Amino acid sequence: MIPITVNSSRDAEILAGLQMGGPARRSFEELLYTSFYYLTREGERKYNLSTDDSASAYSDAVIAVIDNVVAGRFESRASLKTYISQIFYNKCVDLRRKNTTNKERVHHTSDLDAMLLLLPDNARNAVQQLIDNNNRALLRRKLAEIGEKCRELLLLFEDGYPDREIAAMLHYNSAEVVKVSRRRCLDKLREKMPGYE
Amino acid sequence: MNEQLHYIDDYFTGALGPEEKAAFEQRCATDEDFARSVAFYLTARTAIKDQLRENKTAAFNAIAPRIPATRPIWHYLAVAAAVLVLVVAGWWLYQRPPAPSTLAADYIQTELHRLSTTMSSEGDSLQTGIAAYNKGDYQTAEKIFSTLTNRASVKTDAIKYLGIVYLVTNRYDKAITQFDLLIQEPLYANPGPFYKALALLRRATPEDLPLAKELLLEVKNKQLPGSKYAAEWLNKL
Repeated sequence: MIPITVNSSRDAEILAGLQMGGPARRSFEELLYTSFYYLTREGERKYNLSTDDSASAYSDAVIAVIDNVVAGRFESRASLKTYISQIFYNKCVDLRRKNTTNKERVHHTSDLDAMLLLLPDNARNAVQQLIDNNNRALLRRKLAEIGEKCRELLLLFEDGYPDREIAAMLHYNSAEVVKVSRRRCLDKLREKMPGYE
Repeated sequence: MNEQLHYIDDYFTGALGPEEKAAFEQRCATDEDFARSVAFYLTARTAIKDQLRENKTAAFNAIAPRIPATRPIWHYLAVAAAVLVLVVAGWWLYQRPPAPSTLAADYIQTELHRLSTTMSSEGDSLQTGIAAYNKGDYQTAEKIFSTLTNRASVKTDAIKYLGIVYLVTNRYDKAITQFDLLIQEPLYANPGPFYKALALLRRATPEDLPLAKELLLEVKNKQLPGSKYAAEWLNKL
């Protein structure tokens, strides 16, 4: 089968903007968000979600699409609309299930799970048992205490920006300095956590 | 700085080679303190991701287009009213009889676009005029027909064609003059009244329409040339 290629100029513009990186990426994220925002209406109509829930599912879908595009996981086999619709509808199903039952979300793979999957079974099991989810909420609070630049650095890294781009954006001398600084910031965060000082 | 953190970060950013990776994974399974550091690293990165998601969601919410969740009923009513107006307007335009001037213009466009050639002993000049007319050279055609109106053998045709030249070039007064001359010609089936009616409908002064109707009625009643159109148009005028 011949793969469907990106045929919309708007798709191409958004994809190029997201992959280009740098500070300009933000504007293309916003363009992506506003371009398909009308889908939220379908979230309300088809999945009987509230306006806020539908908008929340849509935001999650957009963030997932951005992550996938930036990480090179989007192969342009479908249009952006098809791609984002599929993710959005899955998010809507999750929210609907969550609202109506106590069942776990089926389409949601947490960021933690995704990183854990990088480990082989035996290592994953050992690490998984030691993960304390209570730490996560505390870490969010401690993140506010490590300084603006450190926080920004960590957020940009998690947003998929490579070290060389972060260096340009935050005025570091080099990508190597960014890497060292990022680890120092993580260490700073660890030191603020009870039991890890 | 915690050296373990470098090692762990190298693993999760893909900076370790295959052997180092295998050693790392082995250590996770056998060294609980190390596994705890890995667990912390992953939890911290997840917490940062959570924060990032929250920031992005807030930024997106700030630019969310303001679209109503459901379309208010007036929206549908406005669309329905607009469609109704279009349908009624379309029906009215379709049903409305065409303007008299349009009837005449359509006839001129379709029937007088070309003149049929005639056979006559003095046909050469007349044919030349007709050929000029059919090529759209109305100036030459006018000169030829004008000259031929003084030649008895083709006078009637020349008057008719000259009137037609004036008609298609929108010189209605002159056309009417020629068709009046044509009407006076002793012909068994005189096309003059019909052509004059055409010219009157095109000129369309307030007095022209009643006069055109009278002529069309005459054409219809006397079965003169153009009687089919006359009967049809009289129903529409």
